[in-house]
Amino acid sequence: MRARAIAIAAAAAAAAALAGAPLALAHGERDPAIRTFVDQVDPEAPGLTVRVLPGAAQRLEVVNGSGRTLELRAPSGEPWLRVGPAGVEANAASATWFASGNPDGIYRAPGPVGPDRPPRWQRVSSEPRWAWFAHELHPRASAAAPADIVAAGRRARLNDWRIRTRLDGRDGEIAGHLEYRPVRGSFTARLVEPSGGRVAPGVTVAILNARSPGVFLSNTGATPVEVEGGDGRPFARVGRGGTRIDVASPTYAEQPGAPAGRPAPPGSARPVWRRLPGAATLSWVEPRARYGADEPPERDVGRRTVVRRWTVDLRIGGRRVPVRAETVWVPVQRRGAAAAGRSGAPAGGASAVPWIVVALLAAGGGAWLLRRRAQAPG
Amino acid sequence: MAVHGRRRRAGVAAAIGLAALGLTGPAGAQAPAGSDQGTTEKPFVEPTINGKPTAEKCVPKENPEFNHQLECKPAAGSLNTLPNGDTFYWDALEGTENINANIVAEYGRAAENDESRLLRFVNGLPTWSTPTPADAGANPDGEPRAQPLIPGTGTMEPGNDGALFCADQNFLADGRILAVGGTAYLNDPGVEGQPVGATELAGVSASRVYDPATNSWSQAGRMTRGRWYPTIVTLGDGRQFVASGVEKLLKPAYPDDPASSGGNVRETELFDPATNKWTLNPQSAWRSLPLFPRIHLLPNGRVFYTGSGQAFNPAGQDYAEAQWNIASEYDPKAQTWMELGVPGLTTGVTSQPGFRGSAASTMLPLKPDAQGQYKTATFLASGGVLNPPSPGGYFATPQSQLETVETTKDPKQPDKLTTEETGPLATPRWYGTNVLLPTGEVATFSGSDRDEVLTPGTEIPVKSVEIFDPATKKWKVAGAGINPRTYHNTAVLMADGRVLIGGHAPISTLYAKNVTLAPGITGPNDGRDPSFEIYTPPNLKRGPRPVIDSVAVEGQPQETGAAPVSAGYGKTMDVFVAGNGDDIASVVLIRFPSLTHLVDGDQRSVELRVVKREGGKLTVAMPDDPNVLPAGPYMLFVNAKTPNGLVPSTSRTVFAGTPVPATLAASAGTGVSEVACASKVGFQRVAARQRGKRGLRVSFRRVRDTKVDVDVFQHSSGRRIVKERLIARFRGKSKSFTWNGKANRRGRRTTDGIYSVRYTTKTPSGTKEVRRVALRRVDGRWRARPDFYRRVTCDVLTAFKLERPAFGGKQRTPLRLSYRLATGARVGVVVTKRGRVVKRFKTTTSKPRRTIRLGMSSRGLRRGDYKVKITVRRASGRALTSTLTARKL
Repeated sequence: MRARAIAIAAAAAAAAALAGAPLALAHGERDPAIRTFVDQVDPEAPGLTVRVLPGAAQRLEVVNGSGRTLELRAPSGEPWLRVGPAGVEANAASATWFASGNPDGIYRAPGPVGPDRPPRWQRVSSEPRWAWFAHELHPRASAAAPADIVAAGRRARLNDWRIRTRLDGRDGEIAGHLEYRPVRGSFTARLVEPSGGRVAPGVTVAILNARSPGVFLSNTGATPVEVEGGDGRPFARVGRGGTRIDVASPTYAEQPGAPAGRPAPPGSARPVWRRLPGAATLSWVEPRARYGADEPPERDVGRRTVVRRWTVDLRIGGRRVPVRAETVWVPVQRRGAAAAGRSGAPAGGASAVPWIVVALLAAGGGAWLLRRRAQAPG
Repeated sequence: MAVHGRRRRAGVAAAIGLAALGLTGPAGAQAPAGSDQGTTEKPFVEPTINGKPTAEKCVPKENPEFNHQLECKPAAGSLNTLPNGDTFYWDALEGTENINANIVAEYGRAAENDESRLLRFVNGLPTWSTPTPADAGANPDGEPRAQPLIPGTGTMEPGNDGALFCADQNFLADGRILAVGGTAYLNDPGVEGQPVGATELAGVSASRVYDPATNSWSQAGRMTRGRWYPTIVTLGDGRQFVASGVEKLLKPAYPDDPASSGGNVRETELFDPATNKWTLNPQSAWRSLPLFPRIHLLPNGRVFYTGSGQAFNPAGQDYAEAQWNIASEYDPKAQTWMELGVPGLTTGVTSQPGFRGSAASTMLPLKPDAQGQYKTATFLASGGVLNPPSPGGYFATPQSQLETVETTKDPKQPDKLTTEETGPLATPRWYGTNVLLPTGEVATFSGSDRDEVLTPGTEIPVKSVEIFDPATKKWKVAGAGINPRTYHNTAVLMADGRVLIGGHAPISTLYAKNVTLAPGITGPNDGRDPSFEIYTPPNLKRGPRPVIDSVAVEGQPQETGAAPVSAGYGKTMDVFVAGNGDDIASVVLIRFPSLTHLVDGDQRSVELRVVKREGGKLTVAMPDDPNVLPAGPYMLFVNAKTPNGLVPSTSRTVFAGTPVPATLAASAGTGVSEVACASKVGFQRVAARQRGKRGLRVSFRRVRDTKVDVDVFQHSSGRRIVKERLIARFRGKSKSFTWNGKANRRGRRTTDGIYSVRYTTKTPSGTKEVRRVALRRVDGRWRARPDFYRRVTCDVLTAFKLERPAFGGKQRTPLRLSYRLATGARVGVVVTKRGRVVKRFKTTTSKPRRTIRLGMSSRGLRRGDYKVKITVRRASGRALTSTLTARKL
């Protein structure tokens, strides 16, 4: 009796755990591990771009600066959207238009719709860009990653998709695919030299961890410090009088928020020094620390790997002092082990894993108990 | 029963899976018992919805609109203790009960503006009332800053564009609450006529003010930027500094073009309560900060960011998020930021340096040095999730550390920051709410074992209460809460030293709908929890609690009732305690709490310097710098030594650097609601003082825009009592004015003597309110005199006045007084001169609503000031006293 109760409970738990799952995952792009990629826009036209907008539910975005009109066709064949120089028009007789407005494709059309109805074009934007939920991307049957792929924890191509188009009367298509890309680790940046960050008397550096890592430098010493940018030119001076920065340097152009005002035009040969408010400290986003891809090569994914070694040269009193650092790939497994004593699992990596494991374990336990009961005498 | 059975079985089964993951049940269930443990009373909840009693959290709406089918009791996602001891709170994530399948698709329409509530304890029993309007009323035409990513693709949904959810709030100096920002919901994109879309949250640019005197909300100024998850801090000059927030939660994020991606609001702004307007700070004052950044006012007037805040979005928040690792400070005078270092890395090594997400940040008590100066501030950061990876991990940490800022007055130098690791929490805790106790200990409540925002519904609640002892720098388990409260939990200090625990408003399970995955194990996700619990900390059980008998601020009469007092900067304050006072270790002022999302930008406790001890009288010094103690409402506690540690008193309300609001002064301790009492009050304050050579500045502040009549009476000329001689009259005044000191009544002349100014206006209920101020004219100059006429109040002593501010003189005019009670009580009246009793009227039991008149001959009395003190002792045993003064000529 007790075994049966536990079995029923296990099944109930599995059902409860999975009750939310199809809703959350019916459209795979809501699982951050399933990513959409645009492979081809045919025909190509200068100024015409198609890209994926990330978010709670991914969308496709068309920006059409080609001066020509791009027409999108529904799976049922009728045209449903025009993006051109005059803006965007939608076909109010197409069900696809209404379904494109929400991630689940749920809609309530104000009038009759269907592929055989004559188009009823309505202007919906004066700008030549539009973003929508393209339901061609995620047919329900293939949207959720198969369990074996999830269990393997590897990347896998899930399905291809294509959207038919016409560009100024010529048939074409936008094509792409969905891919299962679980977050298998994350990058962390760390200081290698000088140890402890003490560069010189009163001069300290620290690495700032983030998706775009940064560096913090503080100078309470008597000698000013010059920081060289990636182009070998000094881009900042930090000393007793405060901090000055060259707004003409490429490194400054990469800084968020333009803390010293608008960058000088690209290609400025001479430095343009401006004072930063505050004391003799400097923090900046360091482009040299950024790894160009979201994962290292497949052979390194499962192990802790230094993916980038980088150096920021400082000049202190005419002496060059290198600050050496490295960007390290840390796989999920290692973080999971570390999490026993401290925080650490990657933000995105654990997104769907715990409850899936709960459900699988509970369902497995229930099935095992039911089978055992069936085999038991009496 | 069947439902319970199924849930229990499901819970057992799910436990199999959780055990396999190495997870255990709620930590609170394992809290050890002992004498050093706090106790939690059973939860209580608002008993009605729309006035109808129900035990349910939600009932169907009678007139549903906008797909909003259910009406629910609000949960305390934001929680405040008001200066009169009441509690004021508002909901979080209101409308999740309307989700049928998927919160991402439906919440743009299903969300509702969050409702607020006033909770009052009457004889220990909770009662609720609803403010007007309940949702604070903003953006009837939609939030102007809420724009879709692509023009024309979003749909603004009705009924949810001005939610209080995710606003931050602070007390203004006069005890009102300013709520800044909030949430506007839209579908981005969405299509007109469709109930579903892609839910987007937009920051609200409105700010709103709640006035406890009228239990109502009003609109304040609009910010330049919309803000969802901002933090506000009261500056020393009384203005409010706001930082961070977002205008759109789902900001555009381009992995291949991070610099063009969206970010948090970098602009900072200032709110001036005097003008009700916001001003945008210059670009030098802008900085990228996390959401709900943990910022605090330092005693030198700078605003300190501790390196902690909220961080959402696995895709990253802000290209500049590397900066969030750096503790920094904003100088309001220079309008610039300075970077102090990376906590735990460049400022002292700890095991977990850098940014900390979803962690509480608590400023420990500010203490004066030997010179009475406040120079050092220490902040406790505990729990949360840590960096790396950025912008925050997933599983909670038990790590805890102190950040200490040594401040400087040198405007060019940054303050000095050092970091020190403390003992860890017994249980890792995400989203634990800290409450600073009067004794300087810090209690942490509620939370969960992991970041619930990533996988809502999978978290394991933490119910244990842990207390940090600043002396040992260690945490210790001290009991447990009863209900599991994870996301949007709250807890605040009550005026009696206990802690009110509330909140819990989770995101729908796995971003689908409300389902509790494993009842009893994972966080309850069957909707919000509108209940409260009261926690009694162990420090209240360490021995007899000290009692504050009365308080006398320098230059003001002694107040022994429950009425709040006002204490100016640099003044001394006599705190009279029961007993000899030898055991009193400290006297502290704690800012009334205003908390949401672990954040209270004004949270502070200031230990006052004891300058003198005389038996049960402790004379303490108020700081002379508003940066130490920004103007506004505080709880005054005294802490007594016991062998087991400090035990605090209950508190008295002190308004630092600002007058006590008139309606609060009138209603305090009366059992009469402040709102009801407000109808009997027409003035907030009145005053008269010398202006120029002969003139008199006659000033007043009204509750409403009513006309004011002012009459100036002369009561004596030299040593001659002249009864009540009208010298000047001013009708229908709407603002303060300066009188040139010349009589404007026929045949009258202004000579030296005792005078009074009478102010008359209409109250909201239509009755008249009269206030009088006494003056003395000497050589043509005006000097203020002590009160001879007590303002009308709602307490048991409704009226108490002397016939005139002077007596005796050549005519030997007797001293006459009168009083009136609201309820029957024992009354004693004593007349003293320089502390010596001159006349003691026989103590009598006076009947209610009768004017009692008493008189005393002036024969044989020396000239000078005579104080008339009335003591009214109610049936409950509590005494109320009031003192007036008349001059014998």
